[in-house]
Amino acid sequence: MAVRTTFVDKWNYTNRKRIKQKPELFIVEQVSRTPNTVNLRVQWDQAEILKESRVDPSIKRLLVLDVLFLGNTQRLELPEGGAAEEFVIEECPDNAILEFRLKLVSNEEETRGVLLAATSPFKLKTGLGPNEGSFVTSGFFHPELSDSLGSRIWAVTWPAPDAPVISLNRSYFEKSKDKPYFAAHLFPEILRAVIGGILLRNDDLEVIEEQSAADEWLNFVEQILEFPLRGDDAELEAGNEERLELVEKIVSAFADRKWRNGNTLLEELI
Amino acid sequence: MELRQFNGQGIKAFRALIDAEREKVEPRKPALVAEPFFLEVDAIANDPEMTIPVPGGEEIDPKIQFKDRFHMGDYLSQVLPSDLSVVQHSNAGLWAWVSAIYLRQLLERQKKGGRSKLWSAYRYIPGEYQKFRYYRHLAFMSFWLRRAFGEEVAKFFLSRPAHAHSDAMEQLYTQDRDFLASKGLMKAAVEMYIDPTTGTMKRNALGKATPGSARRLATKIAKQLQMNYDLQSMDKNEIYALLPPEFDDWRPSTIGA
Repeated sequence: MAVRTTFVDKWNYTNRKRIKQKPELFIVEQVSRTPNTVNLRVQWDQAEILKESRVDPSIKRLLVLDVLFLGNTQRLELPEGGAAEEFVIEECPDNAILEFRLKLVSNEEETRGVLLAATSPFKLKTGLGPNEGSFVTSGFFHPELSDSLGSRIWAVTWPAPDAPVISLNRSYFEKSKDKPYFAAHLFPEILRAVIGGILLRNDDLEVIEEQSAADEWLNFVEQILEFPLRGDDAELEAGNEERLELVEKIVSAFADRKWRNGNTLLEELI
Repeated sequence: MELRQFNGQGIKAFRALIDAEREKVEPRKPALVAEPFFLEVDAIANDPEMTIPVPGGEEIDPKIQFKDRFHMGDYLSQVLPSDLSVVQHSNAGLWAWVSAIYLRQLLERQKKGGRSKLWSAYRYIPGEYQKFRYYRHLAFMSFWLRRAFGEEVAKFFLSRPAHAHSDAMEQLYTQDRDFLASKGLMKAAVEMYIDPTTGTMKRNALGKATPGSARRLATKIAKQLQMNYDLQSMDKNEIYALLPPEFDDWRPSTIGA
């Protein structure tokens, strides 16, 4: 292994590749949980992971899934090839939130321990059931219907930096909720307001409380829109200008995405 | 005495005693309590109407004097049942009761006046799991670090009086994904930052701007290294080989010479 003698002012200085959280590459799901243990089912396809991550398949390597909770790490070694296996995580308190990281680690003598590719740390949805690479999509958009917005259609307020509250004009909502323009007009702008607010109110996104409203919005942006804002791949700039530029990119990605019937929100409208 | 835990009524009563004192002061200041308060706590901790026996529990010594938090964690890890479902953080009844019987030691005594400083209830009664709060429960974290991470790591975080929340915990434990997750990195940290003669953290080890400090290791360097290396599989010497020169002065002289 190369000896590191100076501080390298670049996060990813070994050209580590990224493993995307796609169900065709791997799936992690919680099968059951007791007060002491968690049963996980892991399915993976190493050939696809290598191909998608552009890692040379001739390199000797290990594929591992690290499970982190309360400062502990339990490592699951995933055999060569692909399969679906169940694993039991022991000594895991029932209130601990599990984080996962899938890694391809070099096992060549010269580079042993170097990460060839990895996911960012990710979490599963709470509760039982399939969790495809932790795509947390369910039910984080909870607007409050309001009768006191006057002529405004919506508003975002911030009781705390990690707690955006979205208010929607009740009359407008009841009249418009099933119309295509509702989503096309509102959602991108609400996303802009919320993500902009989170990025400008929270210097360090890593300390945002898990399962807070801000955490759920960030999970959505990270996992569905694929902008890594926290963890290994995050290269989030500190300046307001840079963060506002990033917000624009996120909103564009949201607007460009095919959401329903293979259409963007605008295509659905027109 | 028999190991017991509060029932719902006991937790409520303990919390009410704490809240009543806390309401007398501003949130960021400690309430000052004296012996009558401790006697009230003792009364509910010994009240069979407010407590139940712990399944699989045996005896616990309420008189033991803890030298530091490590001693407390070490003792609790010996006398509490091994069944995780009984001793985990979510068992608020157990951890509130343990805090109650040792409360005199969990509160810092004023140098003058003889009263003791009572802080927010989450230091003594576990609440809902929150990533940036659960580790502030004094008794649980002392126990958990000893049980889950072993003597070396526990000493790193717990070489503090029983009442003291540690800066190391606040600054470093919260970096759990990058720092604690690597046994090799933790071994190197113990070697670099703990004074082997006193067992306490070396001066400036937690300095924000101190070159090679534990804080820099946990919050900057480990974050960067774990992006590029599988730190979990590396031993202490392999970790040392990756550290930049700012850590040289902290390393034992025999290493890397």
